Amino acid sequence: MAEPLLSVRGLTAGFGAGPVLFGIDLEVAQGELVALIGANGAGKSTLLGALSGLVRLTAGTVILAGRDLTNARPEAMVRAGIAHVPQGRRLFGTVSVERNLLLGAYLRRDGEVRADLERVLGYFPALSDKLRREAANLSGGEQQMVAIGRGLMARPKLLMIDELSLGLAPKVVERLIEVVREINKGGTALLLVEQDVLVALEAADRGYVLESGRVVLSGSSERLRDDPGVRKAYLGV
Amino acid sequence: MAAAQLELRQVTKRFGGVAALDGVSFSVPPGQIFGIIGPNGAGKTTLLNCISGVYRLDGGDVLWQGASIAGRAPHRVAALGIGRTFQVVKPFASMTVRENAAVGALFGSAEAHLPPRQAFERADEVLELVGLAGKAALPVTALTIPDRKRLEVARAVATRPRLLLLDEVMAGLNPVEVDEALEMVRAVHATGVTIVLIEHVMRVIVGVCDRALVLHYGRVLAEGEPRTVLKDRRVIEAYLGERYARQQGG
Repeated sequence: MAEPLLSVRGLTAGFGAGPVLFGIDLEVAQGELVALIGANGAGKSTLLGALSGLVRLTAGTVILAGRDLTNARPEAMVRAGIAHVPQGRRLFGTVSVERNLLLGAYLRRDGEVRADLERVLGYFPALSDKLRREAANLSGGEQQMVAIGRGLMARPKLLMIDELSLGLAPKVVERLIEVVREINKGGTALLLVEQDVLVALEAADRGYVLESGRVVLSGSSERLRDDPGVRKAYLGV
Repeated sequence: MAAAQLELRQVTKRFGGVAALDGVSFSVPPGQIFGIIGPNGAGKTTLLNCISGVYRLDGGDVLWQGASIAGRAPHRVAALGIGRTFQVVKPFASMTVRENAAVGALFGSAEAHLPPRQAFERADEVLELVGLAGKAALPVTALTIPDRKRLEVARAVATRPRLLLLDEVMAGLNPVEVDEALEMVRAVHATGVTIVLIEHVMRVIVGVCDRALVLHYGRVLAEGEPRTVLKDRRVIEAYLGERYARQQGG
């Protein structure tokens, strides 16, 4: 197998006194779409935090495209190619949609930022005539589009999306998932955290199931769909 | 059926236009361990706040041994013998572990309200019970997260409750610490205290609860024996998504 894009080995991390994640091993191949599922409090968001430099590792390594990024700072993670779409979007509410999107390219010095903005608007045409609006005035689904678009504006090798469907109507989620797949087909690898198990597994090539800070199951999406272990990881029975 | 120690009748609590709790009813007989689960935002903590007097109800009633206690201030509810812990623990940072536990005994239920000397004796008892006796003299800031959760329970137990409401005392603990915390809950229960607990860790619900209730969007989704409840299709739906539940149900 070719060298994976992202390789996480023995990742242990947490806050204050105690770890939340215990020895996580995880890989994302070039161009792959990987789902990360598990119940509330399993450690999914903490893992994304550790991969974007927001949560410190106490053990383990994070390698992206052959580069050791273990405990690199958030800006170094972004520069190296990891973009994080946080849970709850976290947009700059009083700032225009366009500025929100451009802020995703804050670290870039190349001349293709404008072209990428057009590319993002190609994925999300609904945003085209709302570029001047304050982000807080958009619907939840549109805000999620801005958040994903902002992530893309960093031109990441790996885009991590935390809780894509949170608070959104099923129709909106369907549309967003379609776009996520398009983005993935365009060559960007994705790590998708998602509360709705089938939404995640239908979109992804492979999945990892977290329970209490550990990977308890992993495999192809088809396999996980039929594995009773997934339910057990959520409900204990 | 045994007379209920705690009973909720159609409890409703709104924040603005949103009903955080919408007609929640259940009852807990004395001596039971009763678990409340539900996805994030289901209304679990709001429910504890309605029982312990932190929130005023917008509808329904809370009965303690058959008499309404709705609308009573938190310290009056505590004085009746209803103790509680908080999800985000806030010990008195300038005090020792022992002093923190003693506060519960000084200002607790009617049977507690001890003079200082006995309050410290009571503090020593409860620290023993929760496994913190060896750390009594430490400043509270020296405690690890699991130990702070233990102290939170100790403070509540020191009030001499007959009913103890526990809000996610296992959250953020590793599996070994969860097992230790389970032992602590069993030990407290063995002293004759009824327990209502909120948990995300399902192993806890199956491990210690006599009954479990599932809240979802402020309503009761299911109630019953824990294993049965956790296999309920509506519960699978709430946790893993509707389509997943349908696929599982065949």
